[in-house]
Amino acid sequence: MADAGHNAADLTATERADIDGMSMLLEGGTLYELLKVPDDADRRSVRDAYFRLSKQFHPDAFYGRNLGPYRERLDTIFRALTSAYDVLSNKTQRAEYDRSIGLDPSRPLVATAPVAESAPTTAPSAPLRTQSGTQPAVVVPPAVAPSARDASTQSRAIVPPQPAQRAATDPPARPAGATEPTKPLQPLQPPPAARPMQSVAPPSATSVSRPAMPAPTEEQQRAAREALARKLAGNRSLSQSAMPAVQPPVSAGASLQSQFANRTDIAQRQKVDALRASVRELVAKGDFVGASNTMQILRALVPDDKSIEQEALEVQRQLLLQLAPKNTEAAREAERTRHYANAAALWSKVAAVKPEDFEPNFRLGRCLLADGKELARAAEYARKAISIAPRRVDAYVLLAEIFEAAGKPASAKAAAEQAAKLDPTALAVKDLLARLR
Amino acid sequence: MEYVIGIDLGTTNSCVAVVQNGVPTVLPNRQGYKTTPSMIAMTETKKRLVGHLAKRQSITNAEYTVYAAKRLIGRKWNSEPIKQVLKSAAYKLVEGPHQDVRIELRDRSYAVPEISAMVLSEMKAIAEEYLGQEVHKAVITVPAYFNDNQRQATKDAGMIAGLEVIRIINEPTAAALAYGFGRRLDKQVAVYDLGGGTFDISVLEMSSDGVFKVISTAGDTFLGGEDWDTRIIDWLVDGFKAEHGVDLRADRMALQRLKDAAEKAKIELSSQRETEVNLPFIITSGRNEALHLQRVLTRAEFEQLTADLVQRTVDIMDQTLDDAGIGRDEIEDVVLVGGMTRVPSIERAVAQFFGREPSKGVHPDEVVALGAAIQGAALVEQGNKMILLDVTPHTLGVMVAGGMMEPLIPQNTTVPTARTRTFTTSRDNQTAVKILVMQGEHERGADNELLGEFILDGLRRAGAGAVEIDVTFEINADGIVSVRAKDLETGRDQSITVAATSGLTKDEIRSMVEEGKRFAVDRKAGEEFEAKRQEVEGLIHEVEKMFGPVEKVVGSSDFGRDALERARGVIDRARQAVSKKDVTLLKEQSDALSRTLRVFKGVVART
Repeated sequence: MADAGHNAADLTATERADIDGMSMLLEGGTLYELLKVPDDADRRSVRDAYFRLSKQFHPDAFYGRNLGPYRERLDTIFRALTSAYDVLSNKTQRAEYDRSIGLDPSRPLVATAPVAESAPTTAPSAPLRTQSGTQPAVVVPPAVAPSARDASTQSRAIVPPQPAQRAATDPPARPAGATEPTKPLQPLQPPPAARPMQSVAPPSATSVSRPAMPAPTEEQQRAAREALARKLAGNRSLSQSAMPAVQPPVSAGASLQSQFANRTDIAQRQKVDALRASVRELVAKGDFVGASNTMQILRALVPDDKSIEQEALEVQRQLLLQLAPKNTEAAREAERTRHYANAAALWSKVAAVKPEDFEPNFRLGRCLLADGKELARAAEYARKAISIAPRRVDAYVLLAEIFEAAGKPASAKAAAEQAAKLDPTALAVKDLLARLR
Repeated sequence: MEYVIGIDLGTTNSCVAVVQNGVPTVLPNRQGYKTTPSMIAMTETKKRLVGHLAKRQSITNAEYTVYAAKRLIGRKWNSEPIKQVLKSAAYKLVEGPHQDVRIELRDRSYAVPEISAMVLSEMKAIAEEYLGQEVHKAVITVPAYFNDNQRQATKDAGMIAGLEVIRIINEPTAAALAYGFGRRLDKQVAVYDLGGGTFDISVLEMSSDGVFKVISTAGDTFLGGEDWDTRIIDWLVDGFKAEHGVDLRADRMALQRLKDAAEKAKIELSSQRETEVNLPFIITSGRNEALHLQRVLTRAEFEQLTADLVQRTVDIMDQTLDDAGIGRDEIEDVVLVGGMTRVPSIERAVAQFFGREPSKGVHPDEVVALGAAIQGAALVEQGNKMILLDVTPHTLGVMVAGGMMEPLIPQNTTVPTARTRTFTTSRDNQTAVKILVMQGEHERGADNELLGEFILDGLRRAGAGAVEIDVTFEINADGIVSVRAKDLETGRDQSITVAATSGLTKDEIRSMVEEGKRFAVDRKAGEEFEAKRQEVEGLIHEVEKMFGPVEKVVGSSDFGRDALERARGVIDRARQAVSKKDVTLLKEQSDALSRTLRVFKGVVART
């Protein structure tokens, strides 16, 4: 992604941001998120959303303009939107898709008001879902990559599903109809007349029942998602490559496996390189949300690479640093409204990147105490707070209260006495001591 | 400012329009007409005539007047439609160097795109005269069912005429654009487009914010007004032969006069209950005596002569809606396009099919050109608020071993689109594969249009099925198809952008297609033959049942006895086809039997 390419594109900053943002949305999330509709939107609402996005992202909307690298991105976006619409506008396909992502296909659907024009369309400025409290709004690399529908194999920050990984981890059961054998191409010379034609019928072993309903297991859901992704891509699964009946299946399987490994290596290396380049680009732009998303995909692609892991941690750190003021604000708000578990999660994010700051560590300890589930951790952060600011009475008081809650009166008393040494007149300290005696 | 003109390049008439100050307008030609005959002629003095001038002299210069070139464009010399045209065309067709079709005019032979280019140049000139400035860009419409070769050939014609064809769009789509333009409609509409030579049916969804999405499109590139004319001509010729014993078909000038008279009669029957065909001195008899043709054709008779043609369009509509999974009641409006939709029996059939009166809001002859102009303006004007989501009208795929076509992009897929599929080698130690890019709906590769081919070589020597090749098809917003094949092991790849292909056909490919045909027939012939045989035997039974009643009605006339004799011949030939186990023959006879049965039923029903 050379800068020259960016400069060559005849696009406004907003248009670029929209296209980049939309490209990133392709990386993960559901088809509903892609079309920006709630998952109970009725057919008409889905259509309206698709039409609205088409007007913005159909290549014709940029007719006659030099788009440089954005030309292909637009094509990809539009294809993904169309595939999403094709699935969600078709009753059967939508039900199948809903099941695959754990939605109840029989839920009532409603008409939804169109999203306001001013709604943010770019991931970097999208509000982060801080309430979840576990991860920043990092889109998890998907089994259902909408990009799987994108058949172009150009190396860019779009990740087709990994056939080799699928081959290795797929359970034997697949939804019926999701697999077809690879068909042989016409040879250059006619095959000898006596040679039997290659069978085109799918191997019977592949037609197995659908995942159980209504509560499919996670494994089954994943299999269904992947099957759907393959179907969307119109792609024959590589793991289903034709095996001539004359060959012993074992050796054929083994040789195929080694082939996969080999081929996937090449393809994967290219992909990994492209993704890493895009991470660097995003980091340079200060877009750590995007970079972190991409890192997640990278880690899923190459789970064992230490250097990627390192890089991912660094990107994550940068992201949290960037988000620290926001997180602080959100944590205070959560604390004020007594959502202590959420507050704790937010504080721990701030504390992770600001280990030298008293407030996040102290507050984290207090929230953990209020939440009451992880007292050991609470004590750990209270101690950290003390070590950052050894002369703060409230830190000792906190520690004492934690011990008290944990049923360790001796330790609590010791901590309270420390506090009393620093400020014997403090009301909280006096109360504490009185209670402990 | 620069204008993009929209051209409806029709089989019989063409029309040009432009969007001026936001208003789409049809541009009249020098004679003041809004449509121009798609006819060109070469005079004795080698002067080129286009449009009304060509039409006016077509009777006296029939051999060097070319009409309905659209029926020939992008077709191969040995294709079935060309054989049909050869039977009836007054001008001379010859085979070109690339299996294409050439037309012999006085000075030399012309490729079909050259002929179409003459019409397009005329349309360009009309626009330039009207606008007072040069025009360089155009959107040209084609029938939705045109395949890639026909589209490319049309684009070539534009290029020869000095126009940059910025987009080829489908006629019914263009009609829908014009119908919905500026009206902020939010509905699902069907467009029934029956022109001079082609029939199209399309279903579109339009939203009030200016998005037009084609849902489904289908049709028949060889069904149009000319077929209705031919029925009248046949009726006139047969009647004349019965009366005077002279075959008018032998005389080219007579045939051209008949053609004109038939078209006129057809048009008159749209507003009148009957019309008189009067052609004095049509031919001289063997005794050197001048013969005159004079017959009265009623609307009822005309409708009966053409009932099966109307039914064919109804069947196609039915199939299209079925394939798209759309109920007739879900269609909120029906738009009629093409001059032929003025024929009352057609309007009636459409109204009956959809259970609603078709929309009268658009001018059937002008709406397509208007739509093309609207799309042209939408493309070049920044910030335009209209987007057309078009589909690919045909399935695209590759030929696989056994001569079958393996589809990659199904018909009615919204473009731009791309699909990848993995294939393998079919023989041991095969080091190269040939990718044959096909377009069409037939299972057998050979029945489809061959768009192009290329070879991917350097494959590893291995057992059959061990080497895998990814084949990717891509269609961009301009409708350009590109295909890439990649050896997954070595990463080696080959690709083509599918271009005009009349020149691409080589002996090699031909023999491959032939070979594929042989394989496929071997595999499929059995079941296909059995299905056809049952159908034919059922038809024979039905026709035979009706011999008695029909004889009662028409047995007293020579004409009727003749017809009965012919019907017996049809039955005999059908029986022969069954005993010969010849599927192609059987198909032909099955069609002939169906026709006979329809005629018989008509005869009995009238009494």
